[in-house]
Amino acid sequence: MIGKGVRLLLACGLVLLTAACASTKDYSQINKLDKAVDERLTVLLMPLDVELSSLQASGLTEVNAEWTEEANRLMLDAIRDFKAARNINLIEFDPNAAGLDAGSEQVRLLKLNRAVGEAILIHKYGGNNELPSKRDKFDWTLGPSARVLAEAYDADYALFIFVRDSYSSAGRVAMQIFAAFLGAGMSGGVQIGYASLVDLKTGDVVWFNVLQDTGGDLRSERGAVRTVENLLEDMPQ
Amino acid sequence: MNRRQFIGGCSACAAMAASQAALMRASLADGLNLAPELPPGYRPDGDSTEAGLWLLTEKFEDQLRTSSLVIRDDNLKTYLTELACRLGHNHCRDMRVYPMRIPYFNASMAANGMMQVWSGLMLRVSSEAQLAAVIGHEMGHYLRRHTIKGWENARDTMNALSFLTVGLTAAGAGYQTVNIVQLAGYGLIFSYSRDMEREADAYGVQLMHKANYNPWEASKVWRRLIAERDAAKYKRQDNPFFATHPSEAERAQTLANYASELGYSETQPSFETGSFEKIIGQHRAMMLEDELKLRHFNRTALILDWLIEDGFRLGETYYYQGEMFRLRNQEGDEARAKAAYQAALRHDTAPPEAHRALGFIQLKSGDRATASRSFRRYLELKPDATDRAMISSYIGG
Repeated sequence: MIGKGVRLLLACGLVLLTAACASTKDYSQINKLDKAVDERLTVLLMPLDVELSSLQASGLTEVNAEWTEEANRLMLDAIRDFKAARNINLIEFDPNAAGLDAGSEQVRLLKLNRAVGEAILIHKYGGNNELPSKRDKFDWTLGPSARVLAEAYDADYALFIFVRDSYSSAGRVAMQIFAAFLGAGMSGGVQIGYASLVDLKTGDVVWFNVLQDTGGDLRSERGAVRTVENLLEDMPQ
Repeated sequence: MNRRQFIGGCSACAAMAASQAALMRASLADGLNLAPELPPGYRPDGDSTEAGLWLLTEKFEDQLRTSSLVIRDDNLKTYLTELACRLGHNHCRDMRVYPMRIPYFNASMAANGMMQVWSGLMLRVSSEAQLAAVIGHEMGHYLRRHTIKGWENARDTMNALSFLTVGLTAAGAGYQTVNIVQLAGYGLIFSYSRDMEREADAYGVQLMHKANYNPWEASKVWRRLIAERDAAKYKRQDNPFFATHPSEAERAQTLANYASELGYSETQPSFETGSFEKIIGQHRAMMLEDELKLRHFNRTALILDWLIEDGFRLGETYYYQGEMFRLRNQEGDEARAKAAYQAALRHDTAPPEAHRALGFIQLKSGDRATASRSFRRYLELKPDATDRAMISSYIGG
């Protein structure tokens, strides 16, 4: 079954020169997660793919290592809290586990998910890039080899999270003011990301949610909680 | 112009030429006295621009480590790492070398010490010294922190341009003016990139010299590239304004000047550990297979000529020369292929496939008996050939 939801999470308010809005849009192949009655669901959290950058006056972005490391830590905490609240058994993928070499199926799945996630972003969310074969349906899959993760971690689902977040540098803010003074609008930093839930029995991407937020801030604990809630709130239970 | 003016003008020319030469010598000396800009074991501060660059590079390296394009051969990896260490002594521990199966001429070194050496480069160099020339150049980029400097330069130039563009537009400057200013700005970025290449060339020569490799070999690498470019059927159109690298001719000349300045002669034998042929040779067949798939046969023909001139693994090299002629399939190429296969079989490194290839040509010309002998020989030498049944069917009773 195909579900589809679009929400505006917050009333958009004017912050500085641009409207700060968060919106999410998700697709799912299922209504409910597949589990035996009274059984606790085990979700395998894959390594977070999060990068924070400063947005330059020119529009180029420059990754900031300190922000990024801090954001990874804050998001991980927020995800752990979220899972505890939902009574989900959360286990974390171990990137340092033995045997994760070039031939490893687990490594291949990580890389494949990145490619599939990008394809979904481009072709399902990218406006005019819709693929004729994917019109009106959402049936992306990593394939049955996803079972290796189920076996290695005894998990039901895998959760992949990707976030790119940028903040206006002093130069960009000056540029925004300069442009506004001249009557032109120029955007500030923006947070985009996705959460992807994969059924480890089939490899199917059963739920996929994209977030776009001009007011998010992963550099603070509150901001990280907000991002995680925006990303995961609509996840099927 | 009267005579006196003419003479006066010309002595000014001569003075200018002389001072140019002095400048040139000074810049040569400067180039050879460059010092590393990062200490061994260097790590950038957490909140620096460089730390962000390292973070991205480390993420990339994590992907690279498990990439199927990495050539999995410990001997090759050790050989290249030892070569890098011979050039970079104190920085040895900071460098990680990845031999890559990518059939183009390239190597790269990232800000965090990750170095890639592509198979297309390993195919085109004829000695360890030539390999050292390219690896030394890449280490020059690393030791002079070019990745971060290039990014900062591009970032700052683009930022300045953004303000300038908005300002000019607001001031009512025409579309043309804004375009010209932007173009000049982009020119600055590319020009900076070329300057860094020149610096890396100089640094590479210095490292070669300290490790006892004859720096003339660096110049030879570029001369080969020029020859290959000239042999290409479809020529690249270079625009000097947008070039990220100086021209190959300029580099070959400057590198030769450096080598002379350091007192080397072109014919002077270079230091070599003696492992080049054995280690790189192991992968020659794979590299030539990949090269043939690019189907730029005129260039491949030239590379094969070099390899024949280099004179090792000749059986294998002649076999692939035959394959090149067979695939190119121009007027007269069948005869050339046949001659190449026959030449291959006069050397002991000829692969069994040389017999099979020769067999097909003999079969086509109607010489069934000779063809059968060639096919039999192929199957004798390669008893587990996957095409055994097929080849057997060609063998006449």
